Amino acid sequence: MVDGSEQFVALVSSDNETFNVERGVANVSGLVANVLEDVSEEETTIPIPNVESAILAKVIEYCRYHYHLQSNPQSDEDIDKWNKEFVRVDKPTLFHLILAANYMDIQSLLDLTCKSVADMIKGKSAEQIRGEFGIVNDFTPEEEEEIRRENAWVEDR
Amino acid sequence: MPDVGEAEGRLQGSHDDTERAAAGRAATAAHAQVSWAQLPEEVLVQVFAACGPDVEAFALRTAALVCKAWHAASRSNLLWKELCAKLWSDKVYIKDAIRGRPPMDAYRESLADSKREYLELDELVGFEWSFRFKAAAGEHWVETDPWWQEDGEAVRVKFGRDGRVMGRGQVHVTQQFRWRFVESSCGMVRRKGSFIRVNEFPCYIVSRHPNWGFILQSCWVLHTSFPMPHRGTDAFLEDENLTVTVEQQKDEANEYNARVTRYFFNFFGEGVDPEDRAGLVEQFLDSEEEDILNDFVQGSSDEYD
Repeated sequence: MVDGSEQFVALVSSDNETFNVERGVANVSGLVANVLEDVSEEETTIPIPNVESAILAKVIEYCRYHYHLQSNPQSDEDIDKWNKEFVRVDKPTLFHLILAANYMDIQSLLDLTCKSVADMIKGKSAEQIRGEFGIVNDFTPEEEEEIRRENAWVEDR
Repeated sequence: MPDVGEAEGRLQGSHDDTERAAAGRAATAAHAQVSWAQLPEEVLVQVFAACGPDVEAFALRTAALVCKAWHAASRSNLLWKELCAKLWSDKVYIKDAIRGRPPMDAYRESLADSKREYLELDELVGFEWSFRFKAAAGEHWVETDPWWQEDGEAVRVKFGRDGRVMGRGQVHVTQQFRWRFVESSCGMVRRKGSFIRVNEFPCYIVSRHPNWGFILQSCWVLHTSFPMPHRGTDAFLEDENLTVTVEQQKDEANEYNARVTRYFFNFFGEGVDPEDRAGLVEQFLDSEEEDILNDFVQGSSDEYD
């Protein structure tokens, strides 16, 4: 395989924005890497129909940083700092980043974004979590009581 | 290769522009269709798993009550398979029947079963047990027990379905020893499988190790259902931390010693001061007459059965 920086791949978002990306950067995505395995080395267009341009741009930013770490290593501290800054986004963006990471099969980005959500909900009650994420309580009081009763065993493990 | 570098620079510039333009739209575009209730189950599971240290409690006490989708994820096989793997990673025994259950049930049932202090027949006869004497058995027995030697391996013992106790690699446990389940010992009554009696020795009482293995112990001996760690490497199994003591089993221990002493008197004659008995038995055990004692011990099982 030719060095990744010499070849480009066009990723097309759900709203038809085209991003020309170095092959090596695009390969950070398991989904893209899978597709690229089956095509020639010539320039290729890959549709990413589940991800809109604003999010795809963020995802590519993530892939580019992490791809270039291979040739230009940074301290764990710096990487951590960069990652924290990267996920400092509003909740809808975070939500779509999670879906994109999941769809595009980028495990480290999925880890990062899930951890970010976990940090927001840790230590909160179910009611507070609903408030935080705008989730509607679709249980009846009886159902809630039933779940509490069923799950009581976890208290006295 | 200046051409490639230039081309890369140009393209780099062009999609940076695209990214900037796209980022500007992020605030409006990304607000559409955000439903945290409808994250894919595998993603929710990963979020829950990151809510440690007590993922189990978070999933069941909090996440399960958020909404129906989160409730489903809190019970998912994906999550509980992981939690089982973590829980079981340092355990030596989980019943096959429990391993085969749906993951959340398996998790819960394996925890409950780890507190079970009785043995099923299949378990007693299925394990290859490690055996050693406790120091309280007396100097004579400790000296002949390989586990008490430097880096010594414990003797292995099997309890046969036919009632025989079979030893491997040493002399004290022979085919002439026979086991049976009993339901009471020194004033305690427990369900079948809690007490095992070999010949007329004090009862073996069933308990559990933190690694979920079984422990069988009397005031004088210890068995583990897993390879017994070397001396000094597992504080839980050191004599001073084991709970079945001579004090607790004094009735059975005295009864056993009385039988030995009676036999000793029959052998050596009457007229020994009761206060000297223990010392004399000890001398007897150290003497050339050990085989005679073994004969006595073996004979006693036939008497009872």
